[in-house]
Amino acid sequence: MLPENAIYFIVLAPGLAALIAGLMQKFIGDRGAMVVTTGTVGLAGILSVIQLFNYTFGGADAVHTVGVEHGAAHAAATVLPLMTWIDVGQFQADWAIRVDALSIVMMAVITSVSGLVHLYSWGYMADDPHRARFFSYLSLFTFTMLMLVTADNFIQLFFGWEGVGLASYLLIGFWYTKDAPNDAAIKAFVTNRVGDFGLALGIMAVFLVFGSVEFEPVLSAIKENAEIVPLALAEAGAVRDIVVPFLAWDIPALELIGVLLFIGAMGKSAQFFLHVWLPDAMEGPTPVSALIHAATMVTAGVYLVCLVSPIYEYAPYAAAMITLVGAVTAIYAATVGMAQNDIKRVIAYSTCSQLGYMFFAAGVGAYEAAMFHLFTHAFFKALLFLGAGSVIHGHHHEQDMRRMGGAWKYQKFTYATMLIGTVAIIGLGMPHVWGFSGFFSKDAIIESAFAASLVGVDFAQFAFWIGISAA
Amino acid sequence: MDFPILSAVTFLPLAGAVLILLVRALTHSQSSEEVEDNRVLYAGLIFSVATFLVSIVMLLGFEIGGEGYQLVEEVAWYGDISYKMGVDGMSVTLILLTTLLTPISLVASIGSIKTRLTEYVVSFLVLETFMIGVFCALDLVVFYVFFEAGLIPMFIIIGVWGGIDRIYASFKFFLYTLLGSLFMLAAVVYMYLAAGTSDIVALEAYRFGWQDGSPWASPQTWLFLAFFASFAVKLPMWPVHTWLPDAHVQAPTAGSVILAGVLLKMGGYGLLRFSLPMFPEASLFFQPMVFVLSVIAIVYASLVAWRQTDMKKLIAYSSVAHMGFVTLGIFSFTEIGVQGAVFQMLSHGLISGALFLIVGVVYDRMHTREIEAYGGLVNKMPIYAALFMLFTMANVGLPGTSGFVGEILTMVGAFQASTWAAAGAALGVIFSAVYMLTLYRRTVFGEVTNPALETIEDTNTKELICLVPLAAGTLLLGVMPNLVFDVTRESSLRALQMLGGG
Amino acid sequence: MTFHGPRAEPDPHASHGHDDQAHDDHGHDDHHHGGEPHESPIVMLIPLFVLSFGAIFAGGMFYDAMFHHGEAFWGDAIYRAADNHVIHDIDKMKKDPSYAWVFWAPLVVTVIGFLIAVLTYLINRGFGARLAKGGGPLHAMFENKWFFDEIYDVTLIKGSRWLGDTFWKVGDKKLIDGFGPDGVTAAVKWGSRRLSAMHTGYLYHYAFVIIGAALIFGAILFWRSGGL
Repeated sequence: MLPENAIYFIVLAPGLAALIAGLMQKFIGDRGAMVVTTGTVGLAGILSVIQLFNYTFGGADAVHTVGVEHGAAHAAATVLPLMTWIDVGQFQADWAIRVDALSIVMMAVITSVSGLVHLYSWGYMADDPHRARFFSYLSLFTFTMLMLVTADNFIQLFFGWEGVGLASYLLIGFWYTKDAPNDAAIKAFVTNRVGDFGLALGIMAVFLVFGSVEFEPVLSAIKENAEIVPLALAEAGAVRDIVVPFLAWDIPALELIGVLLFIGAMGKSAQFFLHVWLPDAMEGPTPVSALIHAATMVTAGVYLVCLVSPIYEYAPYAAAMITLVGAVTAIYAATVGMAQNDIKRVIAYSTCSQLGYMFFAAGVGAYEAAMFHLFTHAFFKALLFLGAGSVIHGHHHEQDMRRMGGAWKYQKFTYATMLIGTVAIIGLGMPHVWGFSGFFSKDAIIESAFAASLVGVDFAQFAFWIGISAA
Repeated sequence: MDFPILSAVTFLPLAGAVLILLVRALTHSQSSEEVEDNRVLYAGLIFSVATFLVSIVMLLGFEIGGEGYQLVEEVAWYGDISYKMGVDGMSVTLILLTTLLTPISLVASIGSIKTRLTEYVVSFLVLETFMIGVFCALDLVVFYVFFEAGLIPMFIIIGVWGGIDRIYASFKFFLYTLLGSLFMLAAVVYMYLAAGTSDIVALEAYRFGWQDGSPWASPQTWLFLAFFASFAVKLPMWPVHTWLPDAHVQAPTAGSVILAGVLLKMGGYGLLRFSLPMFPEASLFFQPMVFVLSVIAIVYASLVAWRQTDMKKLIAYSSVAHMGFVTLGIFSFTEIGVQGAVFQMLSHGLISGALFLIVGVVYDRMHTREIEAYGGLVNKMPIYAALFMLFTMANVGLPGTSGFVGEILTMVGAFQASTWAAAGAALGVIFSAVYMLTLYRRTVFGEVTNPALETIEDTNTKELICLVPLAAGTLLLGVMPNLVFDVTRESSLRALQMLGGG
Repeated sequence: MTFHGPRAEPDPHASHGHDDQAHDDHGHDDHHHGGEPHESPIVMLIPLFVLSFGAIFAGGMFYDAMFHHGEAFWGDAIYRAADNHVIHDIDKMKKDPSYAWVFWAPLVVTVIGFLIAVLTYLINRGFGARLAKGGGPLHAMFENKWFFDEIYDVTLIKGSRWLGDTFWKVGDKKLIDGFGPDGVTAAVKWGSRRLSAMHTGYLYHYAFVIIGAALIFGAILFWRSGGL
């Protein structure tokens, strides 16, 4: 782990930069706002990538990746508390920064991609009259996304969750004089709200059962199958066996929580039924699509599912639902994506389908595979989007692929990177040897699905075949 | 006896009003309307700011976490009725809200009110006295007098400085509140006769008749319903809410701010001060009914708000929905729910007050509240657009603003009592995003289509003075809501204790 | 995957999404370049370069850490129940030749898919277009995203809009106001012309009620204190 000050910087400085760029644009001008935000996020990116490498490959407290016995070296989370937020009875939520493997990986992905997107926007948005506002929103997004992944309780997670929704809304509708972006922005926000309906109820259910909204007590109670007395229920019971009333039904508590939280994840990660906003979100500027609607925000749902993995481990039906929804999304998005002409929408559907992969990996219990794919996907999908943005930029904002072409002639570098991105996404590589990033992670997922089907996880076989055919 | 700080806070505005009237009587003769200028507004402003400062002194004298009522003053009045004042955490926060919003609404009136300024300022100052009195009163009769008297200045404000249909609006307002007041008056008389005292502290200890199994034969039931009728109108709850949209639409901007910001809170305050502690069994008995009404209010009002074409009506309906969270939280009978409800009242006071000011800003320039007349404001008024966005998001309940804390806590509280109620309320949260974002998109985003908007100017200093404190408050309470919870904790727990203590 | 295709002949009347806005506005199209496509500035190429690096190497570099030895890497952050052997099983499968096809299948499918794409977009240019034209209902369904937007619009959006209108115009105006204040007014008007003066004298009536109430209350007090 980095020194505490560095962690504070990574998480909080982008928020400060957003404030400065947003409120003081009169004084520092567009360029000042760009320098402040890009510099801050870029530095945070470098720091958090160092942190990831440190954690993985070196340092005294690093995880030694070679030759570790299974089950050894469990790295515990470190929590840096910032301030009390809500403290009412048992309902306690602090502002805090949680540092563990999940948040280290997410921090690295978010800040590095965000830093690059900031830099890229210097060129892409060069002629826009509202650059200060744009960069302020980008940094605001980075800050809220970091708050999401470093939360140590469900309420701060919800803050980040809604905060990235706000930033996404503002950025999709960035060109606010036009109808299409405005409609798309509202659609995105409202569809996400439908998901948040589930997430909020899920959090309430967590509180009802565990009497706490903090991750640590909730998750360790499930791991230990502790005896607890849910609020409003008189009897004590082992966590995994508790049944709670919800609406007209009595539902096993973990299944209920699992399904409700997953509804939230479906909204944010554009899964089947709640996916409708993602293609429309492409109305936003392309750097935004790369950062928010490909690399980071839409993966928040996957992150959430992996974060609360103990719940899904003991909620087989909720996990099966994740597998099924993920698999259906993967195939759905693949079919629709083939028939689109707008280059950004094609990539958006591809994102949708890749997120489906991650979900079905998580659904069958291979959370590592899901997170690993999230990690690699962030790079090649951001690459594809930024490459597409470069083509669009080169073609004077033409997005219809049928009117493009000749990129090789005029944009050799862009072309080359797009090719890399494509090859990475289709997962080219030789088994047991080496390949592009997508190869490792995607195959990890497909193998997981197959392995799971061997032991009889619901829908795993279905997911496996879909995974192969949609590859 | 110590310095009677509560009486000072309460009657300082009234003293100011009297002084202003005296000065006018001495300096002007009849028909002085043309001579009048904003000086009288500034005079009123000085008094209301002074009241705000005195209320800060009061807060400093208030021991946070102390038990029961503090800063109590008592003067024998008539028979068993005495003039008794005292505050607990809940009333302190609401008094501060009142003393904050009154000067803001007076500032907002500068330039937009041009006729009968003296009467206008006097009405506001008198209203402020009555409102503070409601939150300070520790005697049922004193409470009732303040509670009902407060309506008179509001009638005058709507009826004299209101819009075209002000007569219809105030008539509706009158009918609804009359209904509630009559029932409540009867209940007050009964309680006084039964308990032999009108002291609120004594009444809290007195057990009004309740028979398990036959609620309809128990006096508590009828007392509860009588008080509830009055508070439900005031809140307002579905289905006695239809006066609110009309009243808001017709009221001048400052009137709407006070109406939404403070007057509605009297209903929620009354439920916590009287219904729960004094009629505990009846409160428990009627919990399902209140839940149903609250959820209907939230969902129904949100959907109706979406379909409005008048900006003020939209925000008025949104108020109905947000007050639904207050009743939901109170009747969850959990600490979380009650604390959330008190917080929601405070937060809604800031947010809805600010939203009415926001509408007032463009109304002053364009003299229309029709959404269709606007569009593309962001091109001409960037600062306005930013502030509007902030309050839109606060109204939608975005975490980080105070709107979120109130909503989530009331829902968490309600979830423990009824998952149906919580799910219904959560549904309303979706709709709130729909109507607020639609409003924002139609007025602020897009191209400027109405040529009259070409010359519209951004917010001026006066408007910023009104809006910036509210924006700061919304954000501060969103990030550090414990500033409020620490103050209100004891009083919320106390209300629940009396409920459970039997 | 079609961005590197040769310049296809655009259908001038192609109607899709938002083509009428996509290329002629977006707020910053006052480029001073001609109509020729051009390479992007260096600030845009640097991120592309860095990300390419990530896209090529991130997978191979972190495969062992994050996946193969994931348990140690993720530590307490990811939890697997005692009976969840998914990752273990993959290791076992790797050693078992009878499962080799599982590892090769994705590659085979990928290559086939890639060849089809090349065939469609590069070699036989018209093939894609013909497929789209003659694709029939299936292609229409795919192109229109399985009609999700349309279905949601008809059911959810139109439905709640209708509900909102109904609540407002029927619920509030007809029922509540009709039987409530307006109904009372009408009844009062009908019953007594003189009382309809309430419309203008409401304020005094209200004050009257309050004063009357105070009087009644005073009378009761008086009666009580006298009676005791």
